Amino acid sequence: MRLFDIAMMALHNLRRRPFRTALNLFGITLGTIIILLTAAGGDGVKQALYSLIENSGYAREIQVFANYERAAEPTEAEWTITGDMSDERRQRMEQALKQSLIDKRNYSSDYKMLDTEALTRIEEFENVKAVVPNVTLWFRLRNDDFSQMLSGQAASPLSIDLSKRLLAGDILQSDDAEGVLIHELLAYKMGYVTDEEVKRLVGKEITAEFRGGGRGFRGLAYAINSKEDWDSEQRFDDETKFLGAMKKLIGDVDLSTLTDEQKELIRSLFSDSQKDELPPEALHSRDFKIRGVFYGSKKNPFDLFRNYFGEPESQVLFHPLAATDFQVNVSQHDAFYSAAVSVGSFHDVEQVETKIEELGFRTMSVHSLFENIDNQIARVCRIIYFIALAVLVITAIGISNTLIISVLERTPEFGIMKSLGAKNRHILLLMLFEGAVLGFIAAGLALVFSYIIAKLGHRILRSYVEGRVDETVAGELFAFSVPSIALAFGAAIVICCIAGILPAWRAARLDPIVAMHRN
Amino acid sequence: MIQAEQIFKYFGNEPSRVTAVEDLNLTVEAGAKISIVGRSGSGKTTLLNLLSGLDRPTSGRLVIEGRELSRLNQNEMADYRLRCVGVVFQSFQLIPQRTAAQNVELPLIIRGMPANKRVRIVADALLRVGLEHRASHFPYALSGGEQQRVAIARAIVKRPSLLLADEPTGNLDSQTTTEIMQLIMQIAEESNLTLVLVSHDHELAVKYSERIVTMCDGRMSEVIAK
Ligand SMILES: Nc1ncnc2c1ncn2[C@@H]1O[C@H](COP(=O)(O)OP(=O)(O)OP(=O)(O)O)[C@@H](O)[C@H]1O
Ligand SMILES: [Mg+2]
Repeated sequence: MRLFDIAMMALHNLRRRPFRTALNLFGITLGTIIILLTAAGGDGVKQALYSLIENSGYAREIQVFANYERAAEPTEAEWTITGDMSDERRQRMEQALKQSLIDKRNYSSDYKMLDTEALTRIEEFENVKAVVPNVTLWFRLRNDDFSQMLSGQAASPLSIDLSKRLLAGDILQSDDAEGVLIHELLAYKMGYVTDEEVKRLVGKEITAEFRGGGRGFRGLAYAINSKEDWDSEQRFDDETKFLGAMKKLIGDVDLSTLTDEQKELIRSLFSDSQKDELPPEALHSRDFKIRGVFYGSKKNPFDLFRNYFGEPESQVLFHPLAATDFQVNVSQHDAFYSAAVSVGSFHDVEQVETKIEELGFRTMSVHSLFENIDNQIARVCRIIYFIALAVLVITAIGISNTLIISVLERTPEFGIMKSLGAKNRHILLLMLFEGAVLGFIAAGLALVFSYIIAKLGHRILRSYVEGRVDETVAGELFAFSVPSIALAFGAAIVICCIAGILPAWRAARLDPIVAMHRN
Repeated sequence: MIQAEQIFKYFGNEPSRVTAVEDLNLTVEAGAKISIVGRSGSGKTTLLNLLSGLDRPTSGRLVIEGRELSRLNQNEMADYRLRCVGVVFQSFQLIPQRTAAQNVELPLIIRGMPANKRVRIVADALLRVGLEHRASHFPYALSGGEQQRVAIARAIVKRPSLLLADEPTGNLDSQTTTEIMQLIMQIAEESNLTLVLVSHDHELAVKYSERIVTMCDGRMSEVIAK
């Protein structure tokens, strides 16, 4: 028999039972669609995610964190347990002792903060464009007829993301320590409403008032500060007066009835403040020029990144130089817990990150998160593949069942064919072909439907993502590759053929005389 | 040419063994037309199944058209059925889902003949049995006699040298029986086929064959030559 004739007969037989064929096709098509979309989606979404991240400012940013200096390992003599006891108990206690020593040393060892020296060294690394310590400033903004308590942050002069969100003016230039950017809401509160008015705001002067004071006094101020009405100017004034009073009280501590020991304790606790050049209650003010008006970013779906690479959401953004200067002035403390390092391109991140780590700091970058994303996507894909496989196997059992019923129904027919000279392998091929044709049609249908679903899915997902980030999604979210199509076709056909093996074998081995008389 | 020597055919095992053919010796010259008659259960169909290569003798030597059937493997046996014999059954054995033409076409498909060649040969065969106008009809739409004509066309379409018929008219009325028998005889004559006709109807056998083999309980009891 010719393969073509066998295929035609198989097709003819499938057409003879349209309903059963349709049901089988549905199952196998569904499984194949899942496989196709998973393969395509896994690839495409990963690529899209990569390009999204690479295009965003996040990709060129490294967050650097203070790190504690690793304490020396405790020596054996320190954790050895002596005495009469079982080995098991001894080991257990030695383990516990050793761990407690390590924890204690780590806890009490010095924190390696990002001081000016460290920041300068990082800034001098090749490909580093800017180093911005993460500081949040707390101040009162004053204008001729405007006054409000606000928080402010340092913004990288190079922020690409920020440059896309300007209503008026420009981002801060690298040497412009005088400049600030303000949020559109603040502009509105200041009375600048229309677009024209907002534009006129650029170049205007504003004054920021900070309160100084050493750590001891600041701590005291925080301690009495309740969370509610934190932005009340009344509270700011009250605190300032309170700190003045405290300063005086501590200066007059000798006049009190406290014991010498108590006096000494109070002096040492507030010792920082006594070395202050500026008293804690003093307000320093500085003038700034508004360079631009920005608006907030859309809600970002990559909350994972946002936690580490979140853009400043304060209403006033300062140049990092000004921000650090203030921070140092206010807290008498020139070291920072964390800083954002901007590099020239995504590809420089890894190398700069390594250098920073060699300085002894912890780092975090999108680069190091990429691997994480890869693993996540791969895991989800594995689960979906497993489901698809389950669908296919269940369908295969259904197909097997259908084909066995078909063999039973067609037993006389096979008997007649054999009596006319058909060989066992002809009958075997005929049944296997029915399975294969089913698989082939299903794979074709799956390809068409997957393509349609992918097109729709791409549109929906794209508008979903773009509605949430300030980037455009580049490329197709579902990337059908030749190997993935081959895989889907192969899976569908192989599984259908496997489903056909048992029925085919049963049909092939029929005795023609017996089979014919089943009529 | 058929040569059967000491053919035995048993079904099943002791103690329920059935002897269907016992010590059968028979020679049929090429082109001869013979009949096998006998009562029901005498082993006629069993013998015919052996001749058509659908079954194998339990012992004995069976040589047909130079092929020793008892020595053929399964595939060679299928090939023998495909090329050497055409069989006509009492119950027609047409495939209900295929049209008359498609049923006739089946042996050619199995042989691997290309579709364009098949069309003409099938039409020819249908013409020979006088059914050219019913080619596209399904078996359910044909009368018993017409169905048997289709079966005859299917049996001869592969140009066999041996035509076997097992009670070909058993399901037909006397008028149709005559028509079908005449058709078979005519075709066998024209193509110089060796014809083996099985019938329990002695009269019919006498009328249409040169030689009559009588079977009784699996044994060939007499051979009457005209
Ligand atoms: N597959 C089988 N298994 C067991 N016994 C069988 C088998 N086939 C035939 N027989 C027995 O062999 C004997 C011969 O049967 P066969 O069918 O050849 O008779 P027949 O002459 O064709 O009868 P009829 O005229 O009724 O068709 C019978 O006794 C039958 O029961
Ligand atoms: Mg019989």
